[in-house]
Amino acid sequence: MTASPAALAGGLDRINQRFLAKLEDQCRVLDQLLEAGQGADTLTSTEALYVLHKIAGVAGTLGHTALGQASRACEQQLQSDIAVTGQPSPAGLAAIAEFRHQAANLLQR
Amino acid sequence: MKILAVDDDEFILEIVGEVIRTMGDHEVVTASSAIEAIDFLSREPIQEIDCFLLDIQMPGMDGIELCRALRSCGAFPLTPVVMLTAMTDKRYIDNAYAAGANDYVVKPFEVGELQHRIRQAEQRASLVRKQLQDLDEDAGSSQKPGLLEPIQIFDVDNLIDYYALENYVPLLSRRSLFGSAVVGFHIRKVADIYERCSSLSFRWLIEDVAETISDQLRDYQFLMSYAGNGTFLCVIEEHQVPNLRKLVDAINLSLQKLELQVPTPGNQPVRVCAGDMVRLLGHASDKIENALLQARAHAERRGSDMEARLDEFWYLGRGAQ
Repeated sequence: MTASPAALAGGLDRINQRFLAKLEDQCRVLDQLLEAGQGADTLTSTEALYVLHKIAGVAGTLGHTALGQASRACEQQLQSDIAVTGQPSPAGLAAIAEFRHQAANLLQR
Repeated sequence: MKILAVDDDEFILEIVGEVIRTMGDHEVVTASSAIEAIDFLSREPIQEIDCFLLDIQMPGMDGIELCRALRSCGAFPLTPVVMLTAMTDKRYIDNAYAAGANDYVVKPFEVGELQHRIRQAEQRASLVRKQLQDLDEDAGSSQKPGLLEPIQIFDVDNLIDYYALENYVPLLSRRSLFGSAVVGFHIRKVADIYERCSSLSFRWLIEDVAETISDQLRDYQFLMSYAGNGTFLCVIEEHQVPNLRKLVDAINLSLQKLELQVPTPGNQPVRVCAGDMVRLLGHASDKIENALLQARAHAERRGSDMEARLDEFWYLGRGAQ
């Protein structure tokens, strides 16, 4: 049976609420990485990369364009950092801080 | 349609489900990994799927490998496969199409865009059902496909169907990946050959020429498709485009060595010619399909010009170029 556009909006809204709840948990991984700084191990960096990749894929569709762009930029920087040294570079850490800023803004609303 | 969406992201699967529910009488089944999808498809009774939506980056088997597996298992040779992925590098796009994908949607996607692509896939699925029916009927009859029809060819490296090529080229443009060019290859005197061929021998000819062109391009990054009328379109990295004259010579030499049993006018060997290279850069994004049409027209015109010059040489005594 075909659902109405209002039902779609309602459905996307419910998904968005769960996305935001999960975002809070996902940010903990990135906070760990920020805390460890350039000394972060490859495992933590890779886990952060996985989280960022997922957020980048969904955030824009749910209307969180700035968060999506920040996570994509962060993912790309961290990917290149891991390929080179296995650890985040200062640029990578700055990108994570920007992502955290965007996420905090969103979660405070 | 029954749609199988495969993604390791629960939110994407839920969004896809919500979006598709607004679009008509479709059923969505989901799998969170390629292995889970294969498991589902292996169950009895055999699952009829009309369209696949595949993520690329998933733990274990990725979506490109899954797409290749779907195409090679024999159950879904033509079923529309839409990649739904965050991977935007050209190598992922090329590999997905070469593995058998028909379309490619980049995450994050707009809801309207996904709806549009699914509608396209639905039209494609309905066409595919008819094509499969025709293929079954053709196997038992001598009815010949039209010369202009893009015949489905399987198992030739980097050869994709024409519908997929029509999706691939605008995607390169949308992602600003303009460093590619299109070249057309045309079988000379194809209309005369077609008249003399049975349905099966014409199909074999097209398959042999496709295989030969693909083989001669094996050292390049390319995708090609059969566009009908004896014409193949090949999208290749512009900086890699080979010397076309040498390439055509190599293709024609290979075709001659194959000793194709095809009834040609005057028993001449089957030969191809190439049109001019058409760059994607310089075409407006919304008119990028024109590059395909231009490449096709160049190759077909080159073919008829060559034959006209040969006629002048033989019958009017003018010098052939």
